[in-house]
Amino acid sequence: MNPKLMSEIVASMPDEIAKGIQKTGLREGGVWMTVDRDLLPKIAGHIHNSWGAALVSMHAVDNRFITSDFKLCVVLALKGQDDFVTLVASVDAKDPVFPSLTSEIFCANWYEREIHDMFGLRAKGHPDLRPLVLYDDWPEAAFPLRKDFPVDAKVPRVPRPYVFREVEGEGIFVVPVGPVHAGVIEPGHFRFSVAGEPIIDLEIRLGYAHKGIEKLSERLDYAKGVHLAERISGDNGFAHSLAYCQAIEALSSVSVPDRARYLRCVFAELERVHTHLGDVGGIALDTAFTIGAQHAFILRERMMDVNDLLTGSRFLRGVNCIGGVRKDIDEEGRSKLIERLVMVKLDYQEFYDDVTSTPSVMDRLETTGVLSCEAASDLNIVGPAGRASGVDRDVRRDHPYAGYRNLSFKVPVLRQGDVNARFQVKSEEIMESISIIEQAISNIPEGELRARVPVPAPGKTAMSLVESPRGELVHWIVAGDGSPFRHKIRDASFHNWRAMEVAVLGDIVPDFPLVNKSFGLSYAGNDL
Amino acid sequence: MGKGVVTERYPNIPYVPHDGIHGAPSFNMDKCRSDKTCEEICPTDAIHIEPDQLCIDLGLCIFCGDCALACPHHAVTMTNEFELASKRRKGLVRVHAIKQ
Repeated sequence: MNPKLMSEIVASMPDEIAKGIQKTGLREGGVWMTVDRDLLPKIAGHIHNSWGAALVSMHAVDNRFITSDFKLCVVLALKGQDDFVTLVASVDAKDPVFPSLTSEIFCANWYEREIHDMFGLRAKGHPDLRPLVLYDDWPEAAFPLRKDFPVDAKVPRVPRPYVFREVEGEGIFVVPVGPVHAGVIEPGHFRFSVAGEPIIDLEIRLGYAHKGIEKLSERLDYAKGVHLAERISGDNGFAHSLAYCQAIEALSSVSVPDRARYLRCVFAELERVHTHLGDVGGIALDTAFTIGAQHAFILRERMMDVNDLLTGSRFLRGVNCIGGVRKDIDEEGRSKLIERLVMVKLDYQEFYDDVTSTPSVMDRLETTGVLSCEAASDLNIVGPAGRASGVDRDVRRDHPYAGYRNLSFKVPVLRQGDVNARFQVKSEEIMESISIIEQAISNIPEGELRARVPVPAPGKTAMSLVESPRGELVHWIVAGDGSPFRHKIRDASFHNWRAMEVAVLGDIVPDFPLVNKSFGLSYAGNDL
Repeated sequence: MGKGVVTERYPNIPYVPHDGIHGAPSFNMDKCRSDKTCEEICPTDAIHIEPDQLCIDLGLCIFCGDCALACPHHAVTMTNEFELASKRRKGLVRVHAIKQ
C-alpha cells in the first residue's frame, strides 16, 4: 500500500472517530492501525462504508501472558485495491467486553458470537449472543482458545437449552430437520417455520462437528500443520493447505519458485473443477434429473482420477508443502491431463445442454432460492454464490497469489441470484478453470519445486487469502515458537451459510435441498 | 446421452492403481537404523519405535509420505497397496522386528 492511501483513509475520518486511532503503520499486506476499543466499531464502520471495504476476518488473540490483554483484530479488504486494513484493539483481561460491530458491519454478527464462545470476550450491544460453535452442553466459563485452556482438557457436560427463534401466528408450523440427516451427510440443524407450504423463517444451528482445529494447530509444528490444513474441509483441502503454506512463506519472507507457483494454480483449479462438478451434479440430482446427475458424477470421477494419476491423491493431499509443492507434472502427465481436460470439456457441454434443455429441471432452478445483490453484499457472501448475486469479487483477480497474476481468465458474474444463476456461474467457472489449467501447464517455467523456508521468527503476523471452490478463505497466523501462536482460519462457508436463511424465504420446504446444494456449503469448514 | 459402461467389476476384477499413489508405507528393516526420524516426523503419531520393533498403525496413518521423504536411510517407501481393511482394530497395526 502506498503511504498516501493510508493518510487518505485517516484524513477521510471525522475528528471524533479519528481520535480513536492510536498508531498507524505500513506492513507487508497493508496498513495496521492500533485503535481505541470503544471507537473500533465507528472506525471499522467508516472504512467499511466509505471505502467499500469488505470484512475479511474478525478474531481475537489471547495476549494475556505477553501484553496482559486480549487483542481484537478486524481485517478489511479495500474495494478495487490489493490492500488490507487491519484494525487492532486492546481488550482488558479484567473487563473482557468490547462494543459490537454488528450495527456497523452486518456480517460481523457470527464473528462476534464465535469470539464470545472461544475467548469469552463479550460484544456489548450484540443482538444475539447465543453460542455459535460450541456444543449445547459446553460449560459457560470454559473458553477453548484461551491460552490457559489445556488442549486436552475434559470439560463437564452441562445441559444448557438452546433457545431458538420463535415464530408465532395462526397456522404456523415449525419443521425441525437434523442435525442427523438421512443421507448421512455432516450434521446441522435447520428449523423451518412454515405458513402452509412457503417457508417464512429458517434458523440454522451449526457447530455439531466442531473439532478445535485452531487450538490443535497451535501445538503442531509448521510442517505438520500443512496436513491439518488439508483436512479442514475435505474437498477444499488444497485451497486450505495453499493458504496455510502461503501464510508461513510470508512469515519467513520466502518467495516460492515460479514452477511451484504455476503448479499450485494447476492443482487449485483441478480442485475447483471436481468440486463444481460435484455441485452441479447435486443440483441435477435434487431436481430428480438422475441421468444428468450421473453424467456429472462420471465427469467428477474422471477429474478425481486425473488428480490421482498426477499426484497420487484423489483429493490432492500431500501435494502442497511449505516453500512450494512436492509433486511435479512431467511430459507424460501433462499430455494425459490435457487429453482428459478436452474430454471433460466436451462432455460437460453435453451435460449442460441436457440440463438446460429439460424444462422440468429449469422450472425448478429458475427463480428458486433467490439471494438479492443487496443481501449478498450485506452478508458478504463470497465465491460463486456471491458472484451469482452480483458480488463481483474473486481473490484470484483482486489479490493475486501463486501464478494467477500471469494467467488470464474471466470472472463470471450474474445478477439473478437464483439456483440457476449459481448453476450457470459454476458451469462457466468449470470452463474458465480448464482454460487456466491449459494456460498454466503450457507456460510452466522450468526450475525448482520448493524453496527452503526458515522457521519464522516468533511474533510475526501474516495472512493469506485463497479463492477456494467455495469462495474466499483466509488463514491468519501469528508465529510462535516453532508452531503458530494463533492460527485463525475462516472458510468461505462461515460467511455463506447465512445466505441460506435469506434465500429460502418464500420457497417451499422441498426446494430446500436444492437451494442448499446450489450454495455448496461446508459443515466441516464452518465447524472448525 | 448414452455413456456406455463406466463402472468396473471390482473386486471380481482387481483394481490396478496408478503408479505413485500413496498407499501403505513399507519399511525395509535391512536399511532401518531405528534412529526415530520417521517417528518424530509423523504428523499423527502412527509410528512407534521400541527397542526391538517398529509399529505402524494404519488406523492412524494419513498416508502423507513424510516418513518416506524424511528417512535418511531410505528405509521407508510408499507402496500402492490400498486394500487395507481389517475386521479387527489390531489388524491395522503392522509390527516389524528391528534388526540389531
